[in-house]
Amino acid sequence: MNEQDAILDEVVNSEYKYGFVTNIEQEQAPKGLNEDIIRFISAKKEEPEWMLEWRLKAYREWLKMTEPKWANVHYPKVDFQDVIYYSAPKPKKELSSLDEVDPELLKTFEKLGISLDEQKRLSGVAVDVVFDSVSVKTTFQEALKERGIIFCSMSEAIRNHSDLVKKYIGTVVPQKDNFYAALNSAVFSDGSFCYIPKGVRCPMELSTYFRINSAGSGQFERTLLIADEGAYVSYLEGCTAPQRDENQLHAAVVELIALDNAEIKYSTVQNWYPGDKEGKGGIYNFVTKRGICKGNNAKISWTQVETGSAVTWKYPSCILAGDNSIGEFYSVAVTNHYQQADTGTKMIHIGKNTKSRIVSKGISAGKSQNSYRGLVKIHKKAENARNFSQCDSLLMGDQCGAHTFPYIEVSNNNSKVEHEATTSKIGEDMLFYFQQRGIDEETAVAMIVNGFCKEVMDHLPMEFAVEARKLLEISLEGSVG
Amino acid sequence: MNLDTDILEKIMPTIKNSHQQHSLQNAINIGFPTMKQEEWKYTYYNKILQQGFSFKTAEHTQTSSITKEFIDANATSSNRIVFINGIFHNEFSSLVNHPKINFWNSNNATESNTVEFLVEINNALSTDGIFLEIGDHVIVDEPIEIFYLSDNNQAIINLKNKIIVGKNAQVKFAEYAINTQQAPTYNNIVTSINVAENANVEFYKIQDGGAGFYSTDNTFVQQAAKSVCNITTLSLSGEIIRNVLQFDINGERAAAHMNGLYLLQQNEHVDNRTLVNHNVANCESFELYKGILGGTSTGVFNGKIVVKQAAQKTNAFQSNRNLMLSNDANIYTKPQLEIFADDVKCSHGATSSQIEDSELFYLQARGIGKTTARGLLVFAFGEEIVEMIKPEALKIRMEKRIAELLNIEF
Repeated sequence: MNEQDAILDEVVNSEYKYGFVTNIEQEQAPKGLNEDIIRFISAKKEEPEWMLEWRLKAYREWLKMTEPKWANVHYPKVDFQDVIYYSAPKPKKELSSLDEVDPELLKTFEKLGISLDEQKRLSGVAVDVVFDSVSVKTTFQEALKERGIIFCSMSEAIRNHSDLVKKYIGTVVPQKDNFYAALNSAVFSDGSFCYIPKGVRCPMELSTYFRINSAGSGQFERTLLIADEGAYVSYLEGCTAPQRDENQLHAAVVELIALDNAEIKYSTVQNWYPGDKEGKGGIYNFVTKRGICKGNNAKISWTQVETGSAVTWKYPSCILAGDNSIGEFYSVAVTNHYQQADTGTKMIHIGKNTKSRIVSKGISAGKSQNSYRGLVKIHKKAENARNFSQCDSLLMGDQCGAHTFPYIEVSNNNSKVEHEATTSKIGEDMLFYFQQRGIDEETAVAMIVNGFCKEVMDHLPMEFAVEARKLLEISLEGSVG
Repeated sequence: MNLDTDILEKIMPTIKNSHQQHSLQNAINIGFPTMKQEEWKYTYYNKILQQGFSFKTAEHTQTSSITKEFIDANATSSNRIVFINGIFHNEFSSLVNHPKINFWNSNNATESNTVEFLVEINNALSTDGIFLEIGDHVIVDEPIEIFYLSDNNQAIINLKNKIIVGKNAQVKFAEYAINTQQAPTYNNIVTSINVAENANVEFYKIQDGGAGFYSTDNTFVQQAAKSVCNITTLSLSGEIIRNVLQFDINGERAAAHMNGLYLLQQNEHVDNRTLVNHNVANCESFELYKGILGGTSTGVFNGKIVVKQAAQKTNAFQSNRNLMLSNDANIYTKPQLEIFADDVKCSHGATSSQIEDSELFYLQARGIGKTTARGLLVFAFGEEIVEMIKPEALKIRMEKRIAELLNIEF
C-alpha cells in the first residue's frame, strides 16, 4: 500500500465521534402516520384548535403529493409509515433551572461539547436545544426578554405568542410547498421561534442544537425567525445524531422573515451521522429553508457547513421582495464515503436594486457524489438587480463525483448576472510548493482545503468557525487525490 | 391544448418499413414533449404544432418554383446538396468528383430506440437524407453546402443524414435552412457525424429561415482519437428553433469545439442544448455560446459536460454569455457539469448583462454617435463567434447578414 492509499485509508476509517446513544426514558407515538397521530402530537403540545387545523390541512395536501425525484441522489424509498413521528424525553416535572435537567441529558450535551451550563456562563450564547423532537431547554430567556426578544421553543410560542405565529407561519414556506415541507407542516413536533422587535439588535448569538436520539424516529423541527424593522440577529444551528444501521429521516422547515432594514444571519453546521464507510445507515436530510426580505433594505445571509448526512437535499433560499434587499449564500459541502449531497440555493429577485451573492464550495472524497443546484431568477420588475455566483468543486480520489446544475433566468435588460464554476483536484504543483517548504503532505492538504473554504468560513460566527474547521479536518484529513 | 398521440396512430398504416413502424410506436409511447419535462422546461413544443403541420412522409409529386439562380445567389461553393420541400433535388446538387467520396440520398432509417420523441419521429417519417462518406486521407477544399429549402409544403420535413469522415480526412460543411413560402415551415432534422482518427471536421449551421420558420435539429457527433470537430450554430432568424448537439468523445486526444450565436428579435425563441460526453482520457472540449436578445424574445441555453470516470486529464470549458437589448427579453441558461473523474480541469460560466454605459461613453467621447456606437458594440459582441468561421466567403456573408439584422451600416 503506498502512502496515498494509507492516508486515504485513514480518512475512510475515521469514525463519527458523535455516534453515541443516550439512554433516557422516551415517550413515543406509535409508528406510522395518520390523522390520529397528528391529533396526538397536537394534543401533546396543548396546541390551539387553529394549529391542529393547519396541520391537518398540510397532511391532506401531503397525501396528494409524491416524493420529488429530480434531485441527483439515490436512496431506497422511505417508508413513511415506518417512522415514529413523535419522540420526547419523558417529562418529569416543569424545569426552572439547569440543575433539574435529566443528568443523562446533561452528559450528552457535555459529550457534544455544548454543556449548557458552561455555555451559559462563559460564551454568552443563548441556546435552544432540541432533543429528538422536543425542545429541552432554552437558555438566557430572561436576559433576552428584557429587550423584548422572544426566543423559545416553537410549542411554547404557539401557546404564548399565538398571534405572531399565526401571522407568519407558512408565509414563506407554504404547507403545500413541497413534499417534505408538507410532511413537516403536518407533524412538526417542535423547533425554535424567534422574534426580534423593531430596532433591536440582538446582543448575543442565538443558537439551536438538534439531536436525533431514539431509533426509528424522524425529526421534524420547524424554525420561524422574524426580524422586525431595523432589527438584527445572528442565529446558529448545529446537528448531530447517534450511529445507527438504519436510515433516519430529518425533514425540517426554516422560515426567515426580514422586514424593512432588518438583517438576519443564519449559520448552520450540519453534522448528522453520515453512515458508515459502506454507506450503511445515516440520516436523510431533506430540509426546506427559505427566507424573505419582505421590507426594503433588508438582508438575509445563509452560511452553511455541511459535513454530515447520508443524503442531503437542501436549498436555503432568499426571496428578495423588498427594494435594495440583499441575499447571500455561503456554503461548504463535504461528502465522503457514500454520502450524497444535492444542495444549493435559490435567489429570487423581485424588488429593485436587489443584490445576491452565492459562494459554494463542494469537496468530494471517497465514493461520494456532491451536487450544486441553484437558481437565480430575475423578475422583470427587479430593475438593476445584481447577482454573482461562484461554485467551485474539489475532487479527492477518482471515484467521487462533482456536479453543478445552475439555473439562470433573467427577464429584464438592466440587471447583471454572473455565474462561474470550476472543478479540479488539488494540484501536484500546489502540493510540491508546500513540500518544498518543509510542510508535509497531510498538513499541506489541510491548508489547501482550508484556503479553498476560507471565503465561506470567514462568514461563520467565531464559535462555529472553530468547530467547522475541526469538522473539515476530521472529514478530510490527509486525503490526497 | 393537450396533444393526443391519436394523430400518430392514424399514420401507422402508411409506414411500410418495420424499423420505422417501431420508431413511430416508440414516439407514441414517449408522447409529445411538454413543459413538465426538464428538457423542455422553457420551450412550448405545441406552439410549433399549432401552426398546422401534418405528420406524414414527404411526397415526391410536389412542385416548386425555386430556381437554380436562387441557389447560386445563396451559395459560396460549388459543392451543393439541395433538398426542396424535404426531397433531394438532383439537378441543383453537385459535388466534387473524387473516387473516395461517396454520396447518395437515401432513407437512412435504422433501428432506433432512443427516448427522444423528435429523434424517433424523424426516424419513422424520414424517407430521404444525406448519406455521405469521405474516404481516408481525403481533403475537400471547398465547403460542402447543404440547403434545406421550402416553398410549397405543409408537412413536417423529416430528414435523416449520416456523414462518415475517414481517417486523416478534412472537410467543411455549411448548412442553410431557407423558407421562401408564405406559410410556415417546420424542419425536423437529425444528423449523425462519425469522425475517424485524425480527421478534421468543421460544420456550420446557419439558421436564417425568417418569419414562419420552425426548426428542431438533433446533431450527434462521434469522435475517434486525435480528431477535431468544430460545430458552429448561427441562429439568425426564425420563430422557434431548438438545437440539440451531442458529442461523444471516444478516442484519446480528440478536441471538440462548439460555438453558437443566437440573434433574437421580436418574439423569436431559440433553445440550444449541448451535451459533451467525455468517455476517454486526455481530451478537450471548448464551448462558447453568445446570445443577443431583443424584442420579447426568449433564449434558452442548456450546456452539459459529462466527464466519465475514465476521462482523466480532461480539459472542458464552457461559457454562455448574453447581451440583453430589450427589457422584455428573457434568458434561461443552465450550464451544467457532471464530473466523475478527479484529475480534470473543468469550468463553466454564464453571464447576462446589457451594454455598459462606460463602453458607450468611450465611443461617444470619440465622436461616434450613440446609435452607431451601440451598433458597433453589439456587432462586436457577436463577432467573437463569427470570426471563428474559417471559410472567408462564408464569414463575410455572415458579417453582412448580421449587420443587416442589427440594422447597422459600416
